[in-house]
Amino acid sequence: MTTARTHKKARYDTQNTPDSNSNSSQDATPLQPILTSNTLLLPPPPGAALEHKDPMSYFPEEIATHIFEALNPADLGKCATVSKLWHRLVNDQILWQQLFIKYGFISPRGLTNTGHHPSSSHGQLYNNSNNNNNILSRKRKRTTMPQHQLQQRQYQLTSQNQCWKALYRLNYNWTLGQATVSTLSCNDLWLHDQHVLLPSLIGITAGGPSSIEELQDTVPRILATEDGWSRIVRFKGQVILVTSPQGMVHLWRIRDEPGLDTSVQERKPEYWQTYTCPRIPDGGGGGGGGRSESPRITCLALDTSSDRDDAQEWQRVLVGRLVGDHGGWDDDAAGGVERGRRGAFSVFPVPHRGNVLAGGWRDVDI
Amino acid sequence: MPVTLTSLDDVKFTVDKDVAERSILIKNMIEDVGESDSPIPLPNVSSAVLKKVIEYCEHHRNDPVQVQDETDDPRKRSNDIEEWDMKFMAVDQEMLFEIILAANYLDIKPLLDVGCKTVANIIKGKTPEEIRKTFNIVNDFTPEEEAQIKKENEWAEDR
Repeated sequence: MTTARTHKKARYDTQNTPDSNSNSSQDATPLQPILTSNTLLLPPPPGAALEHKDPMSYFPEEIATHIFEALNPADLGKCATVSKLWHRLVNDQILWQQLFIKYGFISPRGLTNTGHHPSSSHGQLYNNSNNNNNILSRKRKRTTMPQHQLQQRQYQLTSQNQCWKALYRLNYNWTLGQATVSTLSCNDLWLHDQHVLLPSLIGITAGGPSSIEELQDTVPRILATEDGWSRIVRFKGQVILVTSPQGMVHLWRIRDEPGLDTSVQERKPEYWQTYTCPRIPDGGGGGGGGRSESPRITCLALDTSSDRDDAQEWQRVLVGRLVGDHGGWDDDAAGGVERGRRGAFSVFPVPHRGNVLAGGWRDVDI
Repeated sequence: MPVTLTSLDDVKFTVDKDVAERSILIKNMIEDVGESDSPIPLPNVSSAVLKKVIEYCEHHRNDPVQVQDETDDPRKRSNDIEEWDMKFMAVDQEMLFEIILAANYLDIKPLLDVGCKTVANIIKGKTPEEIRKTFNIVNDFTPEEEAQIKKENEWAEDR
């Protein structure tokens, strides 16, 4: 674009106060170059650079934040190394909170209590908040609340003790699907596993995982495949979950077959079933320019709640989507992944209560 | 019903009320004071800047009033700048900065937005050294500090 520097005119103001009556330059300010250390260190090209000021010291901080909001994380990373002042402003929590909201991320509320075991806090935040839009209404297909209000409320709920930059980073990487565990790793976000990809799984596009090294994962794996899409892979017991770019979750499983080698490397997973996210209708807040489209899945989770009467472990596939919501497939009383029955997909208008393994966070409520 | 505005350097500008009320500050002043012929003093804005601001407000006088966070999808808020606005913002850096300050003071959010985006566009795509050069900023980091900060921000680098 045309920058503001295309029309250069010599100006010699030494103050920040607006004093730019261009018709009368014969004012109190003498026509004399500013002799600061800047000009000594960086000799400006003739007639050009005297007007150049550091915007971040010139403007109040809220305007500085506003400028940074229009930049992407890559540019912000560069800004952080410009000077100490820029570094401080770029690390401002309010900036990252604004970016988080601008980007449409929804904060998982469990992350509010970083370092705190969430199983003891089920529903705590929501019981304290005076909204009635709680877990009971999660069966609704779509929230009737405008998304910005939903986000507004969510960030109010989570705005305390929140490291917005870390959260943004987590979601940003997830959204791009380019994350590795090391780029995701934040100590206080329970990302300890440095094991990123199972090399033998790279061939997954050819028809599914061919082998696995371990069955229990503590963090999700991002699988970059030759078609340019990335997939999220999770393991849970004998179940392998893999997302597809079309908004689906494919389930694979490893059968226990007596007589076979017990080492997991030797077992071949078999295709089991597929869960499909419904398309986002027109105007549904998707990023697809007004047509119905499959929302990208950015988080994948297996809910392992066991607050059920039958002793059998109950599981449920949950996803976070690029459109900024979370949802899952309803089970019926006898359903769940283990029994191979699927209900309809529903979006959770509020964080789902459960013991959830989700993208980048685990054992927290989303 | 025209409104008269007086700049810092005592230059008077007479504009239509709907143009002046693009500024929330002025709109509130008019509402507080009621209809009046007396000029509205704007002691923080010079005539050169006020002239530009009025030019902006006149061009955008028929824009729908921006409601806070009206867009249902925040991700659709783009960093694009309209062509007219871009030309309007093609001024020297000093004027650009003063327009931003004036927009902030006068509470003209769309103008503040477009000004901040213009500054962001100057920053965009530049290396730290180029940014320092552009704004005459002295690097006050030690090489060790700089390397450390670069490492901290590796996650966000273009890939």
